[in-house]
Amino acid sequence: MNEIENELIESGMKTLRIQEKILKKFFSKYFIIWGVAFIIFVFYYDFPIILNKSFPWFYYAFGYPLIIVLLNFFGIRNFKTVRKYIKFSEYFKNEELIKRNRKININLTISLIIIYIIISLIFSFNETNLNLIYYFLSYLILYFIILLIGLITFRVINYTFDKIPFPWIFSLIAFIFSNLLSIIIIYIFLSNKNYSLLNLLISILWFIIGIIWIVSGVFTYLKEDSING
Amino acid sequence: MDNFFDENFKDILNNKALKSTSRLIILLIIALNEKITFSNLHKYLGGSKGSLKNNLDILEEDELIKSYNVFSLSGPRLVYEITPKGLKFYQKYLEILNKLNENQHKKIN
Repeated sequence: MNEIENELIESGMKTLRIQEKILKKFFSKYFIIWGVAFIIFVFYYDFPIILNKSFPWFYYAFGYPLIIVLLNFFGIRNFKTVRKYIKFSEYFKNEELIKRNRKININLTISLIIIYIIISLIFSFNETNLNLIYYFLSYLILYFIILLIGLITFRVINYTFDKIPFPWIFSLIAFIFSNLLSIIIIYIFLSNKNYSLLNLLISILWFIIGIIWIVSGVFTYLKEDSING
Repeated sequence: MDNFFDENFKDILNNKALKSTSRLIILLIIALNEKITFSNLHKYLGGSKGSLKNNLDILEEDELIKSYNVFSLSGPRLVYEITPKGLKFYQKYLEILNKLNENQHKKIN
């Protein structure tokens, strides 16, 4: 390789390293945004219960997607930047990695849109149907879909960074654990027809997850050293 | 290989603004992020503010990037954004990398 070629490649490699630092900041914000979203969801869902009033279907159908879209204004931009970064990094990586990265590009946006729509529909139907089996099944689907958010996040982070910061791993494990625990809690309490305690436990659980995600995001955002290693 | 560079990438290789690797890296960073504030650029690239501003001015003079002020809660911020010309150069750079990769594969095989 001649000198110019070397310079061009080295410039690209250096750009990759700098861009990775920028993306670590972006993903820290992503964790904070979703953490805030979890907490808002808890209060948004509990609001009609606290007031002891039934709200119209559009409160659920449009409310949740609206909250997610508003909160993820920066998050969506993250993914655009991540896609560009992944495409750029392809020139410096082996072919096997390139193939896996391309799959991420396709999955991300479509998956998120589908998740938004299904979550809002499930919540709106839940409020109009009081059949217990339906209630449980819809929650089962809901938590399975929410689980996808965690899995997608893990996949993207895994392919973007060589080493994932520990607070992010902890947040994602807590998130998955919370999903499974929510399903168990719903099953137990629906069987016993104890609805008030069910809501309280689920709310507390997701409030804690929200806090964990916010703390993890803030920690990696502020502590440069922890995200470099 | 030399012919390939001479014919296809004259504009990027002979461009005064991109003769320096520092400026090329700055352009690539701005292209990847579409827009970025001066303070963030300085934070990630390091070095002196004066040198960074000088490099940014040269890129802006060549219309590869453009700058403007935005007002945020923490005060005014100078933002740099990639221009269509800068984006074209970025695409050219990717083409060069692609070509280099192809040649590398040919050599291996």
